[in-house]
Amino acid sequence: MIKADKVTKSFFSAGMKAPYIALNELSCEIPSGCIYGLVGSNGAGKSTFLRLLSGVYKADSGEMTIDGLPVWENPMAKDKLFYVPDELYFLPQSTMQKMAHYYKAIYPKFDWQRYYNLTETFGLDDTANLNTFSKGMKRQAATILALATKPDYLFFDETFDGLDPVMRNLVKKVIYNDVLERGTTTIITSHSLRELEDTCDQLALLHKGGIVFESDIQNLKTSLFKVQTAFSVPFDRTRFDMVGIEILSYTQTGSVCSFIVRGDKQTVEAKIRCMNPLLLDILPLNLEEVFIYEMEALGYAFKEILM
Amino acid sequence: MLSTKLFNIRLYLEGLKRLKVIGMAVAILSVTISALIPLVRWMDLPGAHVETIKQQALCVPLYGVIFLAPFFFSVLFSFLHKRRESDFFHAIPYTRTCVYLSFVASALTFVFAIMIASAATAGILWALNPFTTFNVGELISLTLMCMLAAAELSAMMMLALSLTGTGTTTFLMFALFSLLTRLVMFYMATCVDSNIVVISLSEVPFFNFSWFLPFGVFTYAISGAQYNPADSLANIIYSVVVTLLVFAAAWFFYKIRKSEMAGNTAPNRVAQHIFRILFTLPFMLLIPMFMITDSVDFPGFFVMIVITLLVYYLYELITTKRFNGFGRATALLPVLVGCSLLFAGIYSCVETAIFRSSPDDPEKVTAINIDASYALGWDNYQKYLMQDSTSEDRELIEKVVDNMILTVKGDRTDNFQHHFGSGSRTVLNVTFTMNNGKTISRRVAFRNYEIENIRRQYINTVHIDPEVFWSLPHMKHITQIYGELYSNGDYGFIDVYHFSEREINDFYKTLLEEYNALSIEEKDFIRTLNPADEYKYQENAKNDAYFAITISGRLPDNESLSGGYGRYFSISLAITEDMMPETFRVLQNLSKTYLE
Repeated sequence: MIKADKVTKSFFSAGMKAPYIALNELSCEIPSGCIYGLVGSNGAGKSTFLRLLSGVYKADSGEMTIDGLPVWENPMAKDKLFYVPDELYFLPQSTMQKMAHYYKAIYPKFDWQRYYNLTETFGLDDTANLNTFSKGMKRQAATILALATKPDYLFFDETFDGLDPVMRNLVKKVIYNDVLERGTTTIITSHSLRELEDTCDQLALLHKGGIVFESDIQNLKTSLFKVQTAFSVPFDRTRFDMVGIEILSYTQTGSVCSFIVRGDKQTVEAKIRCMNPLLLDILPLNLEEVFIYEMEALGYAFKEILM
Repeated sequence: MLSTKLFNIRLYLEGLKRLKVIGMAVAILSVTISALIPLVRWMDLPGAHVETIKQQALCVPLYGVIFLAPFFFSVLFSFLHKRRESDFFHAIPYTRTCVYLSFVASALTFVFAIMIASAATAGILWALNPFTTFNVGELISLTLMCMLAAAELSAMMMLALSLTGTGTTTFLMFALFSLLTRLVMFYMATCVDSNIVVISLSEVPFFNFSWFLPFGVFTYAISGAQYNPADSLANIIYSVVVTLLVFAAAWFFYKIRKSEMAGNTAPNRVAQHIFRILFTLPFMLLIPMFMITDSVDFPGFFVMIVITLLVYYLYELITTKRFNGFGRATALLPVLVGCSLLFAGIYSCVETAIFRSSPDDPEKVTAINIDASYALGWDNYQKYLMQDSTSEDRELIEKVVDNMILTVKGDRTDNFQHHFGSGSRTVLNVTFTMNNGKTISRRVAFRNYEIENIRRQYINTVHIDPEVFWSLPHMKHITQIYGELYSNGDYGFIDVYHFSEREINDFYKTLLEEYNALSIEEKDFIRTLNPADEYKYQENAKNDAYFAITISGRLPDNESLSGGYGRYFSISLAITEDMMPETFRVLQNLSKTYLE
C-alpha cells in the first residue's frame, strides 16, 4: 500500500519572491493491486507527487511510505518501485540493451525473457541508439524497461502522451496483464480524463496541490445519472426532494425538467414512475460529466480546473 | 545492503564509462608529453663521450593534470545541473552516499591512473637514457604530491557541485572555494608585513600562498620557487586534512541536496545571498587592505568601490539572469561593509597582540637565536647549521631586547627615525627563548653600523662548533654546481653549466680538500666575496680572475630550513688561484672543455 500523510512540498528558484507550493498537506491511501489514475491540470502537482513517491524529492513535511517503508533515501523501498517520468532520460549513447543491462544490475527481479517478449511485441530494435528513436518509441522503450524490472509499484507520468492509439491500447493491455498476474500497483497521471477512463480502477483529481476528489471509477459511473422527465401538471424541484431523491443539478423549461441524481438508478426510477410522468428518460453520464457535477457540488468550477 | 548504501561497483564502473572520452584524451596527451621530454633530451645530448648528467625528476604533464582533475568531476557530476538526469540518478535504488562515493572513486581513479602512467613513462625513459641518472624517489615523491594537489582541487570542485545547480555558479564557487581562504590570509599577511616590522607573516609557512598545494607545486615546478611543498611534512598533513574535510563537507551537502536544485543557482534564497557576498568579498577586502597599507589614493578607492559593486551586481545578474534581485542584493550591502570592518578590526587586534607579546624585558629571556641570513653575510646552508643553536650571552641578549623595544616603538608610532636616528637599518629574524620555555620569533631592527658587532658577538657566543659552521655539505646532498668566471673587475663571464656527475664528484673532492685546509677567516672571505666586493680580492691577488661557484643541494630527509624554505640550500664560493689553486685549475680545465 502507498500512503501519503499530510505531505507538503514547495520549490524555490533564485529570483522568486516566495516559494511555490506544489503539494499542500496532501493525504491519500492507494491500495495494492489497483490502477490509480491521477488527473489534474498543468502545475497541479501530479509529477511532484510521483517524484516524492519515487524518492527523487524529499517532502518538506509529512511522510510518504510504500508498504510501511519511508521512500526517501531508502534503497529497500526504491527496489520495489519503478518510475517512468514525463521527460525521459537514458544513459548517454545507450541502446535499449545497454539500459537493460544497467537495470539488470540495479533491480534484482529484472526479467530478460519478459524484456525480449515485450521488445518483440512492440517491434523495437533494442540495438539501435535510443537517440534515434522517436518520442513515442522512447516512451515504448521506457515502458518495456519498466515492466521488465517487475516492480511491485509502477509509476507512469503522462506516459501515454506521444503514443498512437494502437500503441496506447497495447501499453494498457500490457499493464493490465501485469496487474492481473503480479498484483502490481500502478499509478498513472494524465491531464486527460478520457485517457484514464478506461484504464484505471480509481481516480483522483489533483488541484492546487491537494486531492479534491477521489473515487472508484465504477462507483463514479454508476452513482450519478441524468434524469429527463415531464409532467402534465405544474411542478418544481421540491416534488422530487420530498421523495428523497438527491439532486446535484436541476434545470426546468416549462413542463420538462432534467436533473443529475446521485443514488440507485432503479430506486429513483420507481419513485418517479409513481408520479405518473409524461416522459421519463434515464441517461448515463460520461466521466467528465460526473466529475463536473461532483466538482460543482464541492464548489469548484470544473472547467476552470482542467482548462 | 552495503552495495547500495556506501559503494557500488556497478556505479563505479558506470562512472569510469562516463569519463572514458575525456579520460582517454587526457591520458594520451599526458603520457605522450611525458615520453617526449626524456626522448628529446636524449636526442639533444651531444654524443657518446658526454658524461652522465644528474637529471631532476621531470614529468611536466603531472602539473597540467592537477588543474584538469576538477573537470573530471564536473563532467561526471554534470547530472546535477540537469533536471532529467538529476531525477534519474536520484530515482535509482541507491543512497546518495553510494552515488557520491562511487562516482568520486571513479573520477579519482582516472586522475590518479593518468598521473601514475605519465610518471611511469617518464621514469622508465629517464632510466633508460644512458646519459642521465635520476632519483626514482624524487619522481615518486613528485607524483604523490601532484596526486594530493589534484585531490585537493577536486574536493573544491565537488563542494561547488554539491552546493550549486548550474555550470556558471559551479565554476564561480569552485574558484571561490579554492582561493578565498588563501586570499584573505594573503591580504592579512600583506597588511601586517606592510605595517609591522617586528613580524613577517608571509614568512610563516601557513600564510604562504604556496601552502595551497596546487599553487605550491605549480610554482615550484614552473617558476623555480625555492619552496618545495614535498619537503614540508606540515604542509602535506595540512593538505591531506583540508582535502578530506572538504570532501566530507561536499558529501554532507550532496546528501541533503534537493534534486530539484538542478538548473538553479543556489539551494535557496539565503544561500544565493551568501554566495554573492562571498564571491564579492575578495574584491571588497582589497579596500581595507589598501587603506591599512596606505597604498592607494582617493580616486583609487573610488575605482575599487565601483569595481566591487560591479562584481556584486553582475554576479546576481549572471547567475539569476534577471534584474529583480537587485533590490534584495542592495539591502544586503551593509553585510559587505561589515565584513570589511571586521577585517580591519581583526588586523587591529593582530597588531596589538603582536606588540604586546614581543619581549620587552631581558630578564625574561633565556637565550636567543639570530637567523644566520644573508644580512649577516652567511648563506642558507649556514642558516640551516645554526638554526637550532642559541646564544645565552647576557650582553647580547640585552642589546637585542633593547632593539626589540625600539623596533616596537618605531612600529607603534610609525616613526623609526625618531627611535633609531637617521641612517639605514637592517632587520634580523630573532627567536627568543623565554624563561618559561616558550619561543617567540620576531624581527628586530638594527642600525647598519651595529650589524658587524652583532655578527661577531653572536658567532663568538652561539653554541656551535666553528668547524661545523664553516663546513661544506657532504657530496650526497649536492644536486648541482655551476659557476661563472669573473675577471678584469667586471662582469665579463663565461658560463659553465651543468657539470656531469663524474665531473661534480672529482671537482668537489678537490674543492673540499683545499677548502678544509683554509683558516676560518679565509673561509669567511671566499664565502662572502661577490662581484661587488671584488676589490677585497684585488689587493694581493696573483690575478684578478676568480670563479664564482654556486653549490645547490638538498638537506637530508626530515630536515628543513626554518621560515618555510624547505630543504633546498645554496652556497656561493669564490674560487681564487691564491687560496685554492688546484680547484681553480680544475675549473679552468672544465671551462675549456665546455668552451670546445
